[in-house]
Amino acid sequence: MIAALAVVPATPLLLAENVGRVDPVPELRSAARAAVGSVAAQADRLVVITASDVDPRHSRPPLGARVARELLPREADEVVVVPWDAPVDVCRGLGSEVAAAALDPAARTALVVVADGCATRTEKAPGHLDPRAVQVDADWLLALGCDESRGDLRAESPAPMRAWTGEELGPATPIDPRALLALDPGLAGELLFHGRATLQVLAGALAEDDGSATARGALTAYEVMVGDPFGVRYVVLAAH
Amino acid sequence: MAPVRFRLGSREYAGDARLVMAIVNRTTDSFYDRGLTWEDTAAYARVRQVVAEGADLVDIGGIKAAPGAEVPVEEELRRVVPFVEGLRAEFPDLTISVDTYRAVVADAVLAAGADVINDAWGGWDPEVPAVVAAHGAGLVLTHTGGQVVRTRPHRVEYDDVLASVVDSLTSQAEGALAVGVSRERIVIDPAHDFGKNTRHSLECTRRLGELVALGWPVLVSLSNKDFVGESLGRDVGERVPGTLATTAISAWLGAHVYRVHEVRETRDVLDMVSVISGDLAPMRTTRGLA
Repeated sequence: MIAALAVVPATPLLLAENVGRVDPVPELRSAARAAVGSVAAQADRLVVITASDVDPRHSRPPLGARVARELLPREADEVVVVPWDAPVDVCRGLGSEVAAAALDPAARTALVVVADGCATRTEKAPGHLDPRAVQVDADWLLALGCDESRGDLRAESPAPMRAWTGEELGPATPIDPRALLALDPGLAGELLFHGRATLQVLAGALAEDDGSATARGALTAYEVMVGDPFGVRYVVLAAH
Repeated sequence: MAPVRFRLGSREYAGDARLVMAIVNRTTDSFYDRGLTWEDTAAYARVRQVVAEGADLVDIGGIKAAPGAEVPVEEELRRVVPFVEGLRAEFPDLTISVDTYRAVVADAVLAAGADVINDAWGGWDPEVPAVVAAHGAGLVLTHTGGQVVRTRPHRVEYDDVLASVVDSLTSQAEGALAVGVSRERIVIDPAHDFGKNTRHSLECTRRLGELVALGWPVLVSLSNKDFVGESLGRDVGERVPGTLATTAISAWLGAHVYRVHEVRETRDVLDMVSVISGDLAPMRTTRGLA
């Protein structure tokens, strides 16, 4: 069964090799490590889901896989890498395979999803400013059960990383695979929303044939951190 | 040659250290600051400023290097000893060096809390190393080619200035060890402009690696000196860029301690060299990594 889920960004800022004398993302790093550690502690099997790199000029594993490796307290049992531009049905199919491998009710599986939102949230963002990014990011965060219109999350970008807990999370809402599957790959590409395919693999792992959340995959977030300090939407989330 | 490790004051450093030694003159007539820190208030303010700017140690001098009014021992003591005591009280961990060529002054300032004697006139007073040893202090050895204290070189020639530097400093280091100065507290300085014309000082810079290879920590005192001014045709007051360029080259060639007037600028140059060489991580990197 899929017992727990962590979502962390695929930013190379989380790799130790990129940290200078001052850590540019201390809160993000500690939250990501805590989220991954928390869900790993609830599981017997660890499955990492991430996307291929958009512009690989190297022969290393994909960035998301390396970030997961660095955050995880132990080696993952499986690493699923989806092409970053894979069509929705391919993502969903990969997700179904993840779900099938996790069917054994005696073996609790934790998914570690390494995915970012749009990289077009500010003038200085990697992909410059695209005003459509805010809504798209709000959509997938809502699909994960976090309503960005609640609390004080609607800060001006760039916003520092802020934890979102307790009442700000609102009533517990399970992750909605159907909403994740509705994310538009074309628009995602334009907004440098690199995590879209990864999130749709997650959706495939949690969805029934009709797209609704399955009993085995009904996960609800209990810790969330959100921000876009460099114009890229980072979400750290732990769910079970 | 094993990588050098050394100690100054209470600190231990590795061979990749690049340290800023801030000049604090207790003189009325030094060539660059012209009495700026003669008064107590200004001198203390200067130390507070250089510490805030990232100086690793200070070098206090009571006598200008160039020819000028005679400063008797009693006057030199009066200029530096109370200041050292005051600094030691205000900055318990600050490494304090005193620039003097007199053993009696060295003894007094070390008793007052100084950590290092910068013997800037090449062992002119042969008793200095024994005094330093008795206090367990550090010692900067310098090459002057036998120049009489507070005199200018006049028509000095060397067959090989670097060979003279190496011979003199090696022999002084052996002498210091023999009288009990701790091996890890000996620093060597080719002493640019001391007993040298501009070409000599330039050669000492160009071939600094040969000095570094001796295995002792190397101090360079380049700040706004005549060899920089003559190289560029710049008067005192216009030599900071030339000084910083020389600093960068010296750092790349492996010198460890930089005796300077401009602390903030030197700190940045040294850190930049350390970052380029890979001895120091960049401060904060996010470019292309978000």
